[in-house]
Formats: sequence, C-alpha cells, structure tokens
Amino acid sequence: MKIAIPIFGNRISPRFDFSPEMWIIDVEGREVVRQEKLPTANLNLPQRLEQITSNGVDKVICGGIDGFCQSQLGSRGIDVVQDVIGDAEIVFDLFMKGRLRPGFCCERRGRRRFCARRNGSGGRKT
Amino acid sequence: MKRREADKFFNVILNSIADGVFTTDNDGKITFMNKAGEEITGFSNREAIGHYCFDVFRADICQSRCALKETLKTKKEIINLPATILKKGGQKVSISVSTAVLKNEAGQIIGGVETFRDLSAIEELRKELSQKYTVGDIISKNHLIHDIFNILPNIAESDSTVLIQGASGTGKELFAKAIHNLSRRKTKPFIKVNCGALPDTLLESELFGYVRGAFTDAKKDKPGRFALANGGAIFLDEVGDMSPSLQVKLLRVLQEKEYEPLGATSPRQTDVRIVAATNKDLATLVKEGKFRDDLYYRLNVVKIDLPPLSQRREDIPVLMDAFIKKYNAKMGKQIIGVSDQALRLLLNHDFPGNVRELENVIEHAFVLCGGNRIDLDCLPRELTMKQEKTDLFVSLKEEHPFEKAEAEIVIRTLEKNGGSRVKAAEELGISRATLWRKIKRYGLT
Repeated sequence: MKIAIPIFGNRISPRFDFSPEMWIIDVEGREVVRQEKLPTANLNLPQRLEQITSNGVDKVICGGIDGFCQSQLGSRGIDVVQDVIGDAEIVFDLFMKGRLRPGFCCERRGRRRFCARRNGSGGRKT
Repeated sequence: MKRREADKFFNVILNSIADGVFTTDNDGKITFMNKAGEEITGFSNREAIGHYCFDVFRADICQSRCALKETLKTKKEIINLPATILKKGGQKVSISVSTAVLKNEAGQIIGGVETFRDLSAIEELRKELSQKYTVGDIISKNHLIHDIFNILPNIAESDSTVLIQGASGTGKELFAKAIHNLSRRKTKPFIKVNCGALPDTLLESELFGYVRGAFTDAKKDKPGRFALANGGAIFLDEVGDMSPSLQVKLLRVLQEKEYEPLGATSPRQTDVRIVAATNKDLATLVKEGKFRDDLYYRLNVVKIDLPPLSQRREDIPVLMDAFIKKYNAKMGKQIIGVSDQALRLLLNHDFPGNVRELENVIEHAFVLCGGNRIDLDCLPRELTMKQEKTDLFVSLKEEHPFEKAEAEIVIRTLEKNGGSRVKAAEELGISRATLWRKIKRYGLT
C-alpha cells in the first residue's frame, strides 16, 4: 500500500493544495519498503492529482482539503484521512498502529509524543 | 480596574466585533480567538487555542508568505492582505488579513495579533464582474455533474479542443471558464465570442481581425479575437450557428494553427486553445448537412454533455441557497431562505430555462420580497398560476376527462379576459350564471 502525506517541513501541511512537499511511503504489511519526498511547491492542482495517481497512491493523510480535491481523489479510488495536524512522523506511526482518525492532532512535547482529538479530548501518549 | 476585570472587559469588546481576531505567542501558537474568528474559521476556541495558527487558519499564504511571521520579523504591520482560508469542513472563504505585534507593558514583543475580515460576499460580486470563475464555483450534488468534475482536471491539463453541449442556461460558459482557470494557460486571456450574435462578415473580422485597407474605413490594423486570445483560450459560444464559409476558416485554424486576417496576404500563427459550445445537437446538424463533419470531428475531441436542471433536481435547493447568498450581497437584503410552499413549487417546476431561469426566479423574488423569506407571492406569476392549475387537475384526477377539459377552457378564457367573468361568459357563449356555477363547481374562485 502506498501512502501520500503532504508535508510542510516536518509537519503535516495545513493545506493539501498548497503543500511544498509530498512524502510518499510504500508499506508492505508493517514494514516501510520505500519512501521519498517529492517537491510539490510549483505544481498546480491537476499536476498534484496526477503525481498522486501516477505514484499509485492508495491513501492520502492530510490536513485541510476542499470538497473538490476530496471528490477528485475519491473518484480515483484513493482514500482520504483529512483534518489531521501535527508532526508527520508521529501521524504516520499512529496510522501504522491503525489508530489514526480524521481530525487527530499529533505533537511532540519534549521527548514525549502526544496524540488526541483536536478539541483536546481522548488524548494519549503514543 | 483589576487585571481579571480588565481581561473580561477586553474579551467582551473583542467578542462583539464583526472581524475575526486571534493572538499568538512568539512560536505562532494561538492564545486567543474571538467569536467572529470562530465563525469565519469554523473552529471553536477550544479547537484553536494551543495550536499553530497555520493549522487553524489554513490560508493559502500560510506556507509561502505568512503575514504574521513577516510582521514578527520586521516589526511592521501588514494591512488588508487578501487571502483564502479553508474553513473547517473544507469550504474556501475569501478574507483580508491584517497583522501587528503584541507587546507587554515593558515593551517586549510577546506575540502577534491577526485580524481578518470575511470577504465572501464581496468576492462573489467581484467574480461576477471579472467572470473569473473556478471549478469551486460550480455547485452540484448531481452524479452526472460530478462525473464531469472528475475528468475536468485531465481536460484542463491537456490542450485538446473541447466541445460543451447543453441546453441554454445549463452553465456552458461557467464550465469553459473553469477549464481555463484549471489549465496552465490560466494567466493568459480567456476570450469569449458568441457566434450566433453577429452577422457572418462581422464575425469573421471579429475572429480573425483585418489589416489596414482591407475595406473602406479600415484605416488601421485591427487584431481579431484569435490574436487577443494568443497563449490563452477562445470560447466559441453557439458554434452551431456558424455559417459554412466560416466553418471552413475555423477548420483551418484547428488543423494548421493559422488564420488570415481580412485583407492580409500571409497567414498568422496562433497558439490558442479552442473551447466551443452549443445548445444544438451538432451530430444532427452534421446529418442534416448544416454543419461540416470534418469540423465536428475536430471540435469533438473532448465532449462534455451538460444535463438540464430537470435531470438534476437535487441541485435546486443548493443552487437556490447560492443565489440567495449572491443577491443578499448584491441587493443588501437579509433573506434567509424559501418557504416550504415556494420550495415545493420550485422543486416541481421543469425549468426549461435551466439554472439561468432559476436565478431569474430568485432575482424576481428578491425584488418583490418584503420579508426575510421568499414566499409564493414573491415568485413570478406564471409559476404560481401553473401550480394552481396543477392543483386543480390533481383534484379532478378521479373525475371525467370531459370535466378536466372544461375546467381548463374556463381557466384559459378567464386568464385571457383578465379575470372578467362577464367577458369570459360572452366569449364562451354561456350565461354569467352558468359560468359562475362552473367556477364554483371546479373550485376556481
């Protein structure tokens, strides 16, 4: 399975359509087989969608995404976990544990990692 | 005043203003957001406080040229910077942003303050003036339209000629503009020509231009629409109305990418994407010999068929809401919606004029509507009269067809005579008393 995460530095990009980079991770079972970070700053929307499609992505984990982009990804058979904020690595770890939900916030607090629903309820150390 | 009281006092002030306000610490994490800010962003205070402002605000400028970061760096205010944010739920909202630094009593910078104003109503009007519509401006829940949405980015990315077919008022031009604004040519011109609105010779000079001396009064060169659209796109509306001689010239543009202005001796090269539209069935016109088959096949590289509004009734309520928003902004009214009766009538109407007719109905209602809700009496008379007739025929459904026909004749004659029973009775050749009995019998009062 291939996962695409639009990123902004080491964080999830707040906007799918304006992310400067796309982190594409190829996962087999629980193992990361291959990963790369592709520049996306200069891509327009059709090019972004094309990049995701041509890389064979099955799932997109992102921050804010508008209805049009979401329906475009949906029509290409790509699943979207949206409104996720925070540290991209922690988000990906949580996804691999099968616990990531839309609207989750994953942050580093010192040496600790913390994931919770955005309104602060149900937080737990990971 | 004590500190706690002062804080309360400032909160009351900030929550009573219409502009959104949030403050951040020096790391860019939100420390306060007022009520208007919650409404504009869609995030509650609880969801915003403690998070980075870009994760809440989600503006198009956040990752490239953050206004607050710039202010904290330069210590200079930024005023009314235009931006678009993504509201919770995925809706784009146009705003203007102003930023300033926050200082404590000792003059040390403790963070920033960002104020933002919802410009969606103004943006709606600006779009109407500039006609810069994007795919996000096309409103639909219909699967046929969504199927078109799905192929739109691919169409935009290619440089192929597009043929948009659909009845009048289905939004052919809106789709053409959306394709252009999604394409790499979006910074270049989008030129519209209505091929049905101009006589043949005028259309030729409009499309291809002319050179000095081409005809009497041609005192200087005039560039045609193809020259003006160079690098961009040309939208040929009502292409089915084009004369056979012009069809040949258009075919040459499509095949050779060149044309000759009137009176010119050498051809000009053109780099224009052609988007053609028609409310006629071009294939039928080809069969009838009214449209060149070779031009049809050249235009028909990518075809989009827009369904009439009667085939996408589920869109009527959402389109109505969008038009109500638009006319509230345009006419400065505060209409909140449509009454149940009016909605029922509109949902049952066939809308032969499609989305344009629906918009006209809403505009008509805005002119007449005195309250805050569009009711039956605000709608055009021909719509409500049709409803009255429908109700009558429903009530006569179980009765004899002869009675239905008679009731219809009585209604038509009354309408024709402006409701005058005397004149209607005269025309029908019956007495006033007989007419009165029929009116009473069919419940036409």
